[in-house]
Amino acid sequence: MSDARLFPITLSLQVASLAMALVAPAGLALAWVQARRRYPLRSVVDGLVLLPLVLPPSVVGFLLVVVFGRRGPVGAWLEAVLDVRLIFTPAAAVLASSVVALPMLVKTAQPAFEAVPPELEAVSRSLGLPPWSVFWRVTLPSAWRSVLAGLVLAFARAVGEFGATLMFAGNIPGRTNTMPLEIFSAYQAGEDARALVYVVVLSSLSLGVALLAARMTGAVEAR
Amino acid sequence: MNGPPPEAAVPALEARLTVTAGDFTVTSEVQLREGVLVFFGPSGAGKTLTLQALAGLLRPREGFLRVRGEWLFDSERRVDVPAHRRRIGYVPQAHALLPFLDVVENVRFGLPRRERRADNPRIRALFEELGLAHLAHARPPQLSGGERQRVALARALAVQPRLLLLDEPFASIDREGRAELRRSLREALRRHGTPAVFVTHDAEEARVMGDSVLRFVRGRSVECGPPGVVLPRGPSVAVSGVAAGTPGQRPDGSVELALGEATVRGPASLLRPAADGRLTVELPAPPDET
Amino acid sequence: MWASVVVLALVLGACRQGGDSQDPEGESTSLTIAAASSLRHVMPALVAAYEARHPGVRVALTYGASGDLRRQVEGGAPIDAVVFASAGPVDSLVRAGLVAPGSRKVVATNQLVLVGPPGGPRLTFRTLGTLGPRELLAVGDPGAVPAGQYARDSLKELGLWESLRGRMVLGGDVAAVLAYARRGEVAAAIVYRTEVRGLSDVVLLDEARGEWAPRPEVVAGAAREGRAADFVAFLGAPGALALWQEHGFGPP
Repeated sequence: MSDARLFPITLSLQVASLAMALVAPAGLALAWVQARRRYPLRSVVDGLVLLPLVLPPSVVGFLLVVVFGRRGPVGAWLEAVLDVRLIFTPAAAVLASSVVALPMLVKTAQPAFEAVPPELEAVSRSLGLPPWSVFWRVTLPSAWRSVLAGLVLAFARAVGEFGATLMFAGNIPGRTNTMPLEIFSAYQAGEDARALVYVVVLSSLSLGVALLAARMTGAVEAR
Repeated sequence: MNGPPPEAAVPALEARLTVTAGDFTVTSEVQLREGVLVFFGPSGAGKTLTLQALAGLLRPREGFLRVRGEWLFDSERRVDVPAHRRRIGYVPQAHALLPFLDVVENVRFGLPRRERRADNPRIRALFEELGLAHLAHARPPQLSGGERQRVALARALAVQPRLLLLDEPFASIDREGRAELRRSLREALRRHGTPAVFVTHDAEEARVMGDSVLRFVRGRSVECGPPGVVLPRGPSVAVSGVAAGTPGQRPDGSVELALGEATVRGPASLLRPAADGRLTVELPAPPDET
Repeated sequence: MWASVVVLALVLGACRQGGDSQDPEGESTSLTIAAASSLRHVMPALVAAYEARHPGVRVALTYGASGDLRRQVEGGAPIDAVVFASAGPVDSLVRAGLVAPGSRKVVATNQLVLVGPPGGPRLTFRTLGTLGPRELLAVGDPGAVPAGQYARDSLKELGLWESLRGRMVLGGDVAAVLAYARRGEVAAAIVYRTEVRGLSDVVLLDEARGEWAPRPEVVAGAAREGRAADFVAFLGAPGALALWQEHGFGPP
């Protein structure tokens, strides 16, 4: 496979991995806060987290452009103050993927955290574990099955992101053309064989990750 | 290793707390020099809320808490030591064990990493003491209710707490098991010299476990003393009638209320009607203080 | 100089179930025309003129990237004629038997231009190689957008195609390419001359003329003979030329 043909595959892997590096800590922290803390704007945050899941990708993409575009409030500020331009960069693809992947993790992990008996955490604190250790040694291991499922769903969503990426990162061959964009472009050009290559790679990737996760849960089950 | 601590003169626990959860508020005054203090009262009287406030799991609205003279909470001076630095053990009624760890791992759970070795002699001694040696590698779902609470107790003692809080720890255990567990708990606490607060709504359990009893009624701690004094005793006399006036307090602290037509009911051993129509009521002497 | 735009109106015989579209001259009938996005300003005027001459004929228009529309026709969309911005997609429909070969016709020509946001760098086609490292050039996706194919042909002729890789953002149709420039997200965009008439939020930077410049043609074709083929013939007739020119197109 030529470099240009290989590029969308490596790019998609990089974008999804970086997105997961953002989504995993942010999503778990958010899920924990929503599960364990009661604060005034909690239900508002609940709704906001859900938003990218229920909105069409085109709306997400549009909002990203409006906010982070060169003329958007955040985009203009980033460029003026930090000399950073997000739109039409691989970083924009990472951001778009992260935004749509985040709710998959939060909405899976939050009920799992809520299901951990509070007594378990209370006892652990009384045994001298600081809150951070309680999370790592009690809450997370108790909920890990759902957390893993959430991570898999989030990864699949991140690696397959299309609409918002197209609008916010653009289709720049050799820079932002992830597999889903390449599939669409190849299909429009009538190059179905080229599209099929990425369809197969993308499908095997998502399926492979899901199977791996199922296997990990199974292996621990058998212990 | 754990004889009576040298600072025994300092009370194990002194607290005055007002705790609010939702629209329920409980106010309590707690004193414990040594041994086991029982929080006694019906469900919903505020025992568990107070216990959780002692553990640092709930923040009291106001009041103070000192353990062995150390300030752990003081609303006026804004002292609030977090739960994990209080060195106060906590054993709830259920859900105490981590289901994904075996018994040994559970018991070692609160120890610093370097002490979590399998051959830690202190842990081995605890296992012997509580009769857990044969269960070392069982998982919590395989244990009986009584075994689970033994493990929970071993784990709480493993980190050598200054005070142990137990919230109806034997409530879901059958009768015979409970007697056995009470004995084990009392022995373990004595051997380790660990003062404890034990919550129960069962008068029999309160009598067996408590060196002293603090009685809770509808969100207040109302009475503290030896079990024989505080706990409801066997035979009693009930007097009812229409009050002829308001109750009056006498200099000795007792209450006197004149009744119009009154009904007195009680066992014949305590009531002695005289020929002149007067009634003598004899109350049993308070039991010896322990 | 004008790059020629071939409008090929293809009458597509695909999914018409007979009945409503048969018209023995002058009877009430309706046509569905798929047209390239780049023709969205001129087509309504042409349709209005045609309907004025043929009372009772109703023409419905659907726009998109030519490649995309070709896929729709291949997929069985009920289209009576196509008007595309290049010959390729029309010819492939002819080969597929979805467009009557006799109806294929170059109906107008167009020209590529380079536009950019006001206040942007003063680039020309030949100096696109000086594009700043973080600046982008918007072009149509060559696989689906004829304007993108023409842009690729020009840039290859100029020896810039490879060096601009990674800095060309591809638009799904020519309107999207133009929008990138209008929103100021790119330094320059390659579109048709006819796209930028009367726009104040982009400036014309350069016109594609010379040996290297492609000649964009508007090509039309009908799915079958009859009313649809008559419409295609009208698009290429001298009577329609004034309307084409009014919207910036050149003669076939």
